[in-house]
Amino acid sequence: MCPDGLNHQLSAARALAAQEHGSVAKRFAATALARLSTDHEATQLAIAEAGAIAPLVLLLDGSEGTEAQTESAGALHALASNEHNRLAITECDGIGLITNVLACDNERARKLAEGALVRLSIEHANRALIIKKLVEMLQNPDALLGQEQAC
Amino acid sequence: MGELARNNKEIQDAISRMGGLKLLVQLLDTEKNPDADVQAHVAHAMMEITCGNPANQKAVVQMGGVLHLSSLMKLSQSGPVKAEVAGALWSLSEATDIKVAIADASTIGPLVMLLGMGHAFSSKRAAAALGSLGRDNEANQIQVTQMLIELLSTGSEAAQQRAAQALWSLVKENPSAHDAIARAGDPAALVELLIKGIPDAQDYALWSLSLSISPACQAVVAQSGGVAKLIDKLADLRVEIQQQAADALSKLALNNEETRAAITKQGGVLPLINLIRPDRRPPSPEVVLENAAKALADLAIDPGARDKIVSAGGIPPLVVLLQERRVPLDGDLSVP
Repeated sequence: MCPDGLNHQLSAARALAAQEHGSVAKRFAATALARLSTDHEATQLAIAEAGAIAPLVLLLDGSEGTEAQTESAGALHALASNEHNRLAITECDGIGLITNVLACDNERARKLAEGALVRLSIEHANRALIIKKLVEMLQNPDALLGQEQAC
Repeated sequence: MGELARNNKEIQDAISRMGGLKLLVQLLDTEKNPDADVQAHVAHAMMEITCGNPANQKAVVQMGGVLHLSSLMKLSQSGPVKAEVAGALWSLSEATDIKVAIADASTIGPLVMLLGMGHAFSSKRAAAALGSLGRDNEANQIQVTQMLIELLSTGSEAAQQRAAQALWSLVKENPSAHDAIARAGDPAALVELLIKGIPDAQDYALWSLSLSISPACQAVVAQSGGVAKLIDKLADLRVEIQQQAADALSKLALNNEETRAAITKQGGVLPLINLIRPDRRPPSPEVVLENAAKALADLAIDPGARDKIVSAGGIPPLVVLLQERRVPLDGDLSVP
């Protein structure tokens, strides 16, 4: 049977990793939801109805690690192919946080955020806000730098 | 002489200084001394005189003692001789170069055989020698692991028990070598142990597979029948077994359409979802949630798995995982 000492070594290593990289479970949950919702409208709606959009938007700030940030951008990109979800992402203040991801160092995260914004821009009501956030980024390079460092 | 030298460096050094070590090494030569009783006593003295004494250990090696001990370990028909020789090898094998010399003299196989033979004293000495040979030496760790796995596969139930204990000791004493030890085992043999082994052998096989499954062996693990057994292990009551089973399934599913399909077809989705359900009692610790979520994420690439995950109610638990801020629980993996 696996000895206690080994268990403690593993547990300590996990705790350290979690401190450094944020919640691994959240990251993988976001990955799973992104993959489940890819090109499948019924699942996209079911995931939104289960309340996924608000916590996915919260992960975009990078506080749970860059990988969780990237995966949440991917999930929101996939979910944003549905009209109802596009509106829900906007209601959760997702546009500003997705725009901020455009300034991060991770190329994959940037591409997913860009794809999500393109999809969100399908809604006329979102376009003005997206443009406003992009212009703010251009006008405030200090904030841009801060976001790069945060990412 | 051995009794006098026990835990007494002054006497150990005096014996060496007076030429006693050289005489003892000569007495280990079976051509000069065929008497098994004397051989056993000499090996015992060798153990006590070299224990914790690097200078004496080095001297014995330079005098050719390792070759004589190896020869006795391989050829002697006497259990007591083999047990004492194992003790001497244990005592000698502190320094890296001596570990290598002992392994190069083909002693690991006979030591593993001795471990499996059944006498408590012999087994204890053999286990100690094997542990010492493997400590901080990757080549020996690999060789010891492979031979212990063979003993797990072919030995009596008692021998299997001792082999499993020796493997866990090797793992515990070499925390930085877990990947090397885990990868040392043949994947097909590990799956066979996972399916047919005694409980401790199954636990070892699962630990090893959870760390070692790679693209190179995914097909072997699946074709050997590993998928169904790994899925079974998700329902084990011990959290470290749940965690390792989910980890192994995740590695098995990674970038491999065939293994993903096998996991889905053989019923892997529902037990993975069960591990992340928020109403689970007791609730799964963070490490189990991580591995189960990762496995589900790996499976979710395939439309077939996606439909199973959705129909089995997998979406709400995944969303709850996003919402909760969990703190890793120290001691989550404690053995019940």
